[in-house]
Amino acid sequence: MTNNNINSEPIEILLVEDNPGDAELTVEAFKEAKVNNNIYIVEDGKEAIAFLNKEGKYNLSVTPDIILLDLNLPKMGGLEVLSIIKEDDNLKHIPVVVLTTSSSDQDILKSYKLHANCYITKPVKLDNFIEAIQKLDSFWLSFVKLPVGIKI
Amino acid sequence: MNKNTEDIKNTERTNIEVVQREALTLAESIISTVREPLIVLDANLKIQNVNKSFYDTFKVHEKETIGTLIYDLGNKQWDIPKLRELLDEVLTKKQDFMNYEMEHDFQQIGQKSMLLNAKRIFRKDIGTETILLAIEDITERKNVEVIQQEALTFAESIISTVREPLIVLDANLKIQNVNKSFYDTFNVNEKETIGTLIYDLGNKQWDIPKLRELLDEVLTKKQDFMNYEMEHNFQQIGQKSMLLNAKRIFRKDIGTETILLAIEDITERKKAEEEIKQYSFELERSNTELEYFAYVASHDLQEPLRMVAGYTQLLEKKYKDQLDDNAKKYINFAVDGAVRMQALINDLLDYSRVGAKKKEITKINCISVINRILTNMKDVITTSNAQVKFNKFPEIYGDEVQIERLFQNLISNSIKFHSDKSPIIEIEAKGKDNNSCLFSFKDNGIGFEKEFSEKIFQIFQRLHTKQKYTGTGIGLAVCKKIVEIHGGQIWVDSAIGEGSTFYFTLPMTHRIHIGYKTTK
Repeated sequence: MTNNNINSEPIEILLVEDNPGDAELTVEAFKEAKVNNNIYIVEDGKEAIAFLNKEGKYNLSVTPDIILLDLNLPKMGGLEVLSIIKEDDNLKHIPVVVLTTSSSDQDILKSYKLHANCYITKPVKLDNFIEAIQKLDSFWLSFVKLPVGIKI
Repeated sequence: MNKNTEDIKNTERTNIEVVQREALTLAESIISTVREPLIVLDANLKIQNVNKSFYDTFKVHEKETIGTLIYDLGNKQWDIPKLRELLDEVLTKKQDFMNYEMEHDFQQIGQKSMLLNAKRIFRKDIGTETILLAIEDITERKNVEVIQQEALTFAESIISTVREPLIVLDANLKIQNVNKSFYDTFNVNEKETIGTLIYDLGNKQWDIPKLRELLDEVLTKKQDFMNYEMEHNFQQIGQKSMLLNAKRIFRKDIGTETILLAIEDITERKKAEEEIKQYSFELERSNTELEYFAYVASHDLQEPLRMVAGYTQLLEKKYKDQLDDNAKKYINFAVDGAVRMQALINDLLDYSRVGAKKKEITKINCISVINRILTNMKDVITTSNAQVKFNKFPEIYGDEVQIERLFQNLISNSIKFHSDKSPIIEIEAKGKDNNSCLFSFKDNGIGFEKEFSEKIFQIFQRLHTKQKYTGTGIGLAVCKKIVEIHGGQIWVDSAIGEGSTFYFTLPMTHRIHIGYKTTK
């Protein structure tokens, strides 16, 4: 496994999650993963789009390397956010990991139809959750080659 | 007298004789060719002559007929009081008769209705009176009349007894007849109805544009109508939906066309249809709500659970050094509770989804279903050293996804509750009758007490602690639901230490209705 991100530039992660408890668990899990990362947390779909488009208070935000997206979000649902990202030429290259409580077949199918890069149901057990985040980290952020130099 | 005069006289006589003979021949040939039986009687009522038709009709022959007193003919069959009456009148009162009706039951030819014409003829040539008796066999005609009358009575009784209102109109659309149902349904009486133009009936309540349209078509295009739908708000009886059949009937007996109009009041039926539509709409809506509820439950109910479990575990992880064994035990209970709660929620959802959607009914090959299950369960089967034995199966019909789940639940159940022996599961099935098939899944597992035979099919019912056997107790409840929505039954035979045999029936015909169907 190539682990070329250690000691190099940090990985920029956008976490779209309305539940602060869940957000913190995710942050904790990433800490365990020992990856040099920056996690930005936004609480709803509209904020997520504003962040990605560097609108308003997000005018100084970075373009994330990966987006972790919950589906049940206030104002604008996760699926809508996903479709906006995947239809936007400037954003669609960013891998989107749907990380959600729902294990509904419909949600899974809809997410993939909207070009989600992967779909993960959050496990109840903390160990399993940490393991999932670590696998996510090792696959998407270490193993897979992500596009570089397209940051706007 | 000279020879010439003699010759002329001879010639005249010859001519007269010729004419006479010709007249006689003509008369005889008339007698013989007319289709009606004819009898010529002398003054003593002895039969002088009859025609062929008489022999044919009354099944007598010449030998017994000619010269016989009419009353003696054919074993005195003709000794009929009414005939005696007639002939007496003819002889004594010197009267002729026309259309004298007589009925008689003849030995050989049965009951006959006859119309008799009797005419006295004085024959100068033989110097005596003869009676010409023409007999018309009107038995058939009488029968036809009776049948006609019966048919008419029958038709009238149909009209009067059918529950649907009926109207008979003449060619000018005046009402000739209606039945009781019409009076009852439309609250009109006979006086204002019969002879009235239909459009004028009941304060012109029947002057309905769609009815005019229909009757115009019937009259002009000579077309009959079936199931012509019409709605109208009647003054007395309110809004009605009607289905009209119109039929033109040409009545030969009165030489004119009549129109039979049958009116079916479908107001109630329409209302019922509306209600069914409404009901199925409600059902669809409640189904959608159920789906939404299931979605919300799977997401929103689990999120707090994850918080509880996640943070107690995080607590343990981060403050490991400051917690004693009791604290760690409590945390374990909390986490275990959350994990089980999640399993229960998922299983409950699962259970509620069985049969919630419209299913595809197909012909199912059980062997390929079981082989697929064995492939899915390969690891468990290898680990437990289980054997699944089966031979032949009848074809069954059902929702294949559900049937597979039913079989898999039963097989995995048998493996899970195995005894100290390696699990052996024997699956058999045979046609019970033409419509259903009886399956049995027999195992050599631990079995259970008979008193739990029904309880084990209840949702979340467990016979063992979760420490001994994992699971929420949903498997058999799902089995029961699957069997029942296929119209079958499931039961079990078991004893401690002797294994269990699960029995259930499944349909062998595609004409099944899978329960909980919605129109969605």
